Amino acid sequence: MKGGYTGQILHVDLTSRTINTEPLDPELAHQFVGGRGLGAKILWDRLEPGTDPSSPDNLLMFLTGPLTGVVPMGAQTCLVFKSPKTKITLGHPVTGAHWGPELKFAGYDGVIVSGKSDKPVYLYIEDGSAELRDATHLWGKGTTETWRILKQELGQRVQTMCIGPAGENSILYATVHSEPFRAAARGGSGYLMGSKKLKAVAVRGTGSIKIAREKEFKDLFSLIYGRMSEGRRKARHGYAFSRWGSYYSALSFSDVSTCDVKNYREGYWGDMDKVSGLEFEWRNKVKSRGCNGCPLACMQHGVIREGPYAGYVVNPDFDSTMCIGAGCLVTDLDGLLYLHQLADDLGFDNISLGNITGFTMECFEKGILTKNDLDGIELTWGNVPAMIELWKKILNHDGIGAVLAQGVKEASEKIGQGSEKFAMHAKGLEYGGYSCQAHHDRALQYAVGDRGGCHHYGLTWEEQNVRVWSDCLLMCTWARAYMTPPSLYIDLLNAVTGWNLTASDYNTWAERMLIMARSYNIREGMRPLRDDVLPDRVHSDAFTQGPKKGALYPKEEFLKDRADFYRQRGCDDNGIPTEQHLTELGLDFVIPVMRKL
Amino acid sequence: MAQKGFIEVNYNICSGCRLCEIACSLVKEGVINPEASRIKVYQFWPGPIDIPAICRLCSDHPCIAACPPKARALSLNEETGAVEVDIEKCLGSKCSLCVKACPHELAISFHPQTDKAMICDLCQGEPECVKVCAPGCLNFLPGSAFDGKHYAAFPPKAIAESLASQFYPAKGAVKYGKEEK
Repeated sequence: MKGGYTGQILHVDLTSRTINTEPLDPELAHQFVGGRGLGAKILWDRLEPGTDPSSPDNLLMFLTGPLTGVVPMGAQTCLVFKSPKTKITLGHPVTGAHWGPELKFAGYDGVIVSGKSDKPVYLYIEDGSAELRDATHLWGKGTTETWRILKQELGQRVQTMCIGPAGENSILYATVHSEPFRAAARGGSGYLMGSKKLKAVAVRGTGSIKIAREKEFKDLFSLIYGRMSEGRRKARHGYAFSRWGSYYSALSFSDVSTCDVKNYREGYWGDMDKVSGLEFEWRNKVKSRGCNGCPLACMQHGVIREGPYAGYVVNPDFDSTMCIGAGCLVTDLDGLLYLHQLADDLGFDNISLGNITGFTMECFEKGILTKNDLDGIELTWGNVPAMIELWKKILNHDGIGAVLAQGVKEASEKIGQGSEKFAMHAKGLEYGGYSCQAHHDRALQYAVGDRGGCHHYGLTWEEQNVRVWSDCLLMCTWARAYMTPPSLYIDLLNAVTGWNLTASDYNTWAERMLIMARSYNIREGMRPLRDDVLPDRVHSDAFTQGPKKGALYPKEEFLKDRADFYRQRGCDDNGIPTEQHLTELGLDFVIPVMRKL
Repeated sequence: MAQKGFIEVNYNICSGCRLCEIACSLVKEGVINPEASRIKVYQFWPGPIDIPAICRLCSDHPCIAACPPKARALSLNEETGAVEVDIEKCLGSKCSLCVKACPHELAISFHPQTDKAMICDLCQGEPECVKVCAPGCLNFLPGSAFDGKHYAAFPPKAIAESLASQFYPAKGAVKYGKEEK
């Protein structure tokens, strides 16, 4: 391979404690690029259909892409696995920081972990070699502490991915953290890593990534960097991003009624300014930090200087802020920041955890769950100490916590009494930070997203293509504002790898990767008409306040939009990709499986 | 155009993105390899606080003085004011006398493949790292009025500790550091 890729994949089997290196098939890389696309294909090829995602057989893949570590905002790593959370889809959470680039400098495009260790271990990779080491001293430690200890033991420039106590304690929505506060969160990545007894993966690399066409690449690099640094100073998006992070949009999104407020009951919240990015900046902010090669630096570090929650904090991401903050009506900013810090440190998926907490609060308000059921916790809206108590219960599977540790779908099925109506999930994965009664494209993406109810799938046909490309090349999806026209991705890929894709290949490739994931889900038991659905709240609970008062998404309209989506993506009325479309995309191997349905 | 100058580092605002490392290795090596960069960003706890380490251009050049007589690999480039390494002569990391003599501690490192000393040469007065520093942490000041040895006297770790005491409160309130003895 001429550039971009290192051409090697590390395969680690924890059961037999064997470590092999295998070459990355150049043809496979050409067809599926990397990250999310490549991961879906590897899952299809290597994981037996119907494998239990909680079993040791499930694969946990840490995959980079050809642009990881190479371009501005190319910091990402994509984790791909069969999701223990949804059980019928794949999971492909993405995280930033410096881990992915470091892995490539160490000589690998990805790490595939299979099997299960009988005692806690961590994997140490250094310049073309790898070994499993004892992790007993790390077991039970929070994500920040683990990061710190590993850096101390292994050296300043080592990068780590690790799980926290939530992953160790089999919480289905546990995360994998790279660096403190950067997580590959959705779909149960941490649960899977914990079930394999793999505490961390530490990487150190001093090698280099080659560039196939240096001159062409340098020109594109300058162009993109120039746009981003100018955007940082002049464009609203870039400026706000580098000053307040993705949280900047909380107020503006509340103003158009698209924030998760009160467990997705509302989209607008009058109290949003109490917990806004502005308030954070004045009270807490210390500095901005960025992922590898990012000129924008959206992560805002801060500190709470006094009071019961004093300590380091980070101005959190938009979706997790909405779920933990507005979703639970938390108006105490210090409390909100502390909750984030706590959830991050324990290794919870903040989005799912916030969603479930909001759901439990609503059950409590409606009398479906009583104080007795909650072992004496007075779980009223916005009650931060009660939330901390509840989370402790969830972490230890104690009482009601054992039910809530499964996720909002399972919890609502157990609790019953009409709570299914406001259990906000699709295919078992909790919604992100947007209410969608007034924004129907958001609702549709929750319903049809290939990893369940997630904000990451893309609102429009175009956005879905950009996002899947970003996740395969592994450039931050927020770079898309500067990557116009989208064929710029192709130019960049060609310059780095020496390939000759054309602008017209852009949509075909994106479509192939999206349909690959959809086909995989269908093979594993996802049935589009049954599973691409929305909870009743979106169809029946109209907003009662704010500019979009009265808005909802009638079911008939949704069914019509969904049918349009299927048609646009080359699927039949049942949401199954047509044979003709599969052949066009070069996915002929999928056809026999689809015929058996 | 070769010119004298100084890369000013505003340690308060480094975002730790390491784009400077990418740009440096790209211009010096033609590949992307942060380890072969002449500027390196280190992360310190608490924080993390990111500190870029780069040659501070001491006027008395302790590194040149320390280079053993049998090697004489380091010399001063009078045009740019930077210290240059003759990689044919450098004895590599087994010698390390220049690194030990450097008051800034992390400003000189060894190339991961060739094992020769690497020192910032200011790109002939147009440093690439400065061009890609979006937060404005790195700034190139032309001219040579400033003696970098005052900067160099503070190694990155000391800077990080000093910043930490400014950014974060002292005892008691630092929750995540409290297990430390």
